[in-house]
Amino acid sequence: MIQSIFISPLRPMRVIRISLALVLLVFLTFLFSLLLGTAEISLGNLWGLVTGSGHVEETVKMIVLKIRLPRIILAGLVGFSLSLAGLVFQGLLRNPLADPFVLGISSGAAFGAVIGIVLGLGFRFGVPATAFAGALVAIYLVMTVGRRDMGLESSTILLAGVIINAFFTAIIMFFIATAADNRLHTMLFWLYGDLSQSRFSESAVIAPVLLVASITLYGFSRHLNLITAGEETALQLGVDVEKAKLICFLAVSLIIGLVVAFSGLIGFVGLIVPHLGRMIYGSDHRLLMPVSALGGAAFLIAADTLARTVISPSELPVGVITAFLGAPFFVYLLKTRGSQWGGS
Amino acid sequence: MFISIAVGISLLLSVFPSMGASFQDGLGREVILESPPRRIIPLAPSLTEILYYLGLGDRVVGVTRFSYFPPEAAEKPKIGSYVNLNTEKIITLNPDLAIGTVDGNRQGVVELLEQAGIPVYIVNPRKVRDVIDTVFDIGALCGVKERAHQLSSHLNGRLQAVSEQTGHVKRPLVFLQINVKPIITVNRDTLHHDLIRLAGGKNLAADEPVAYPRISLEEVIRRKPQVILISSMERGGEFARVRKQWLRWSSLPAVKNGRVHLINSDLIDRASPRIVTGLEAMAKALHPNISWPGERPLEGDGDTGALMVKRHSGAE
Amino acid sequence: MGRFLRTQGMGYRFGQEIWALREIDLEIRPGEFLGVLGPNGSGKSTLLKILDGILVPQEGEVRLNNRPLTTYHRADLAKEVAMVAQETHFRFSFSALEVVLMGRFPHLGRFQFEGQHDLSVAYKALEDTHCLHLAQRPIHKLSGGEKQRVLLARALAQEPRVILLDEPTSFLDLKYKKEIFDLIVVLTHHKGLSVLVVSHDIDLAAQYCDRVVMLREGRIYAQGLPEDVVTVQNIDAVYSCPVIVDRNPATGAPRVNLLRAGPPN
Repeated sequence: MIQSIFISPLRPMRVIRISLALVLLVFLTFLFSLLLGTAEISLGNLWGLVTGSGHVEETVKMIVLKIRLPRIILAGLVGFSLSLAGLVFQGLLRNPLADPFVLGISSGAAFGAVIGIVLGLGFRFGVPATAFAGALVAIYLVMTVGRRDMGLESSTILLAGVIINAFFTAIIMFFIATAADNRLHTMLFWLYGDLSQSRFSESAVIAPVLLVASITLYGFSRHLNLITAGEETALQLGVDVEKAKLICFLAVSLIIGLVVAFSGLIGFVGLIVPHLGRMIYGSDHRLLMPVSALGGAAFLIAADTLARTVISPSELPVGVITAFLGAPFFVYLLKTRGSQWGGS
Repeated sequence: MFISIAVGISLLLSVFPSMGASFQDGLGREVILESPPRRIIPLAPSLTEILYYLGLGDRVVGVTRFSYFPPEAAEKPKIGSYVNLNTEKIITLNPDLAIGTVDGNRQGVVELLEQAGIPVYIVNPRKVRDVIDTVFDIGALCGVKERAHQLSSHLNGRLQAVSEQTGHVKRPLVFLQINVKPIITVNRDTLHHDLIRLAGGKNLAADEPVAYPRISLEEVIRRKPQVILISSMERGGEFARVRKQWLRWSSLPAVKNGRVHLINSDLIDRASPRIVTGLEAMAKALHPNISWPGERPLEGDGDTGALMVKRHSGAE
Repeated sequence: MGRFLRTQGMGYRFGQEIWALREIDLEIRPGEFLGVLGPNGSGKSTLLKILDGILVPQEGEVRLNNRPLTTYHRADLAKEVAMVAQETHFRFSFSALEVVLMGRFPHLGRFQFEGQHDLSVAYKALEDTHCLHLAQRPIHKLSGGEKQRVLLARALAQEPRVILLDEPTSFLDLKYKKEIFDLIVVLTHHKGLSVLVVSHDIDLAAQYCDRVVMLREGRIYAQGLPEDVVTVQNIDAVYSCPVIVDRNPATGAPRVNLLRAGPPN
């Protein structure tokens, strides 16, 4: 396992350098994904499309600009959000296995979204708002049910998450079976997420909120570093722990609520990417946050591209791909956890 | 004197074996009925429709959920949904015949009912013509052969009238969408495909490996359908919205020529007599300029370029 | 000089249970090395948490510079009072240097990164606790004693005026026990810090502390100079253990001698 300790502590330059490198990665993944799909388009064609020169068939142009582009952008934003949320949960709960999906927070948001849909609310504000509320409820439940002496058995909170997950999923199934409302989407959407038929308008709603939430969360990156050493330790060192937790949970719920309302339940992104980030770059959240977020964006863009090409012309829900990758990864984490993070 | 004649006749009758009629159902199984059934339970909404169509509504003693057509059918006692039948309830209603379908009803249920002494007749229409034959078969099964023959001939006549007109026309490439998100269509193994064929169209997804495949938006666009038919399952406003979404793809032939239509799913999703109306509606949508004898007007929604087919009240 | 960190009539209990601490009158003066002794369960750790404002007493209050602790923002308080708990679990991997730099948290703005000054404070703290060579090592790979010293360095990095230590020498080898206490003497007598140490090691406390407090079942049993507090009667009353107390021949500090049980008759 790569363990990286650096001679001097974290400098802003280093954060910026690595972030830019990752932005480049995201861009390349984005570009690559634009080229892939049922309709063939070469790099040259793409260039022609962008610059307006060169002759590209109308249909192909439509496919790339109106279907793939909004979808890839949304995938990037969703991956960014899920990964960032996962990282923050891991820090606040001091548990490397925490992730909004595993903890049932995403299901709570889904439940909120379903309620919003059943109530006939609009998709721009109404449904995301109820989804946000649902996420908050789930967080509250998980914290209450899973509360044990901190620092010792953190599997209790995971167990609480499993239960909360099952609970909300059951309620969602109930609504889908009885309400027969078209806008409810299929069960599959709420189990495995789906980015097909994404619109620019969806990204337009998510992006500004995500920006504000990310900056807020970054402002708590040092707090998170200290909180991972223990809530009492963080208190002693001067962190207003309750305030930090409150604001972070609110920001994360907002992100999760939005993302789930628009793209359904996609899991494990918040587990895999932050962990990889930690393995390579250490545990300082000031670096980990941009690393996880950007890494998550690239990851989900790639996963979604896989989802829409692997059984072409049919498609898989993207959550199936992430679950396929994530579940074994989770098992691996569970098994190696003891040796990796001391405890004592 | 009378007594001896009565005894004689009853002795005579007891010698002859009871005369039950034997029928072969859609799966080739033999179903024996002592006498024309008077307490019938159809195990799917389409079968309920057929029974009412044949004028046998008063013999129906139980229906599945969502049996809304004709409206009177909704008043009958419910026996669960067609994928989730309540066998106990069925048995309690004491039917002398249950009619089931291969699509949806489960094998286990059929066995249970037969063990309880209820004869089960299973239909398996694969094509539109099979649906019409089913109408006849069920009529014969229930002892109204004459009427069944009359009605099924009439339906066949209408089908014939349409297919004669559509036999030799140029077939547009048709994309039939039966679900919104995700996009689901039909392959050649479906009734819908047969409808498209009879209506004079070419099914865009005919060769997909699965009967109701999920297909990506990209792929549909890539194949450039000339007509898009959206099957309306429920509330109206939703599907106008879906149609509007298709209209974004301005370079598609279907959109350029204003050929994105909504079609009432009650007319095409059910193996019932209304499927012939569905055929007529589809034919008209695919070939607006053809006409056939005995054609009746279908209601449009006044919107240029689109023909919205409202619920049609069965066929007489 | 004036009183610094003090509390009067302080009492604390967990929920509706019996009182963990009662009628505590305590003060730590500037430049003072204070030792707190007592058996397990006498309330020592709880006392520290209250003095650091982590727990709020139901009776009485704690004042720092004559201001109640509750009026301080946590970050401001962290610049004055540093505490090292008995056990810290690090769930994620940080280097020793990164851990020490955590002590600089209250001195930095929200989006600010550590600067040259912060780094030199951290290095100085590592030097003082003889941990410089451990700077690059991941914290969870250090031994109990090494970790202890790094955590003390972190407390020093906060540049506080009061340091509260809960059993700082429990995992340390003899050599390091002495070094830490020698260091504390330097910090208190030469740099004017106040240090409160909770200890199980009566001899060590008696040797080094300026004053000693002995707790029994949540109350102060005795308070004062080591030679006045570490007596046979007090130890028997508080620890329920008969001992002989004599003097350390070199320093004159009280020294506790256990009486081993004799052979059975």
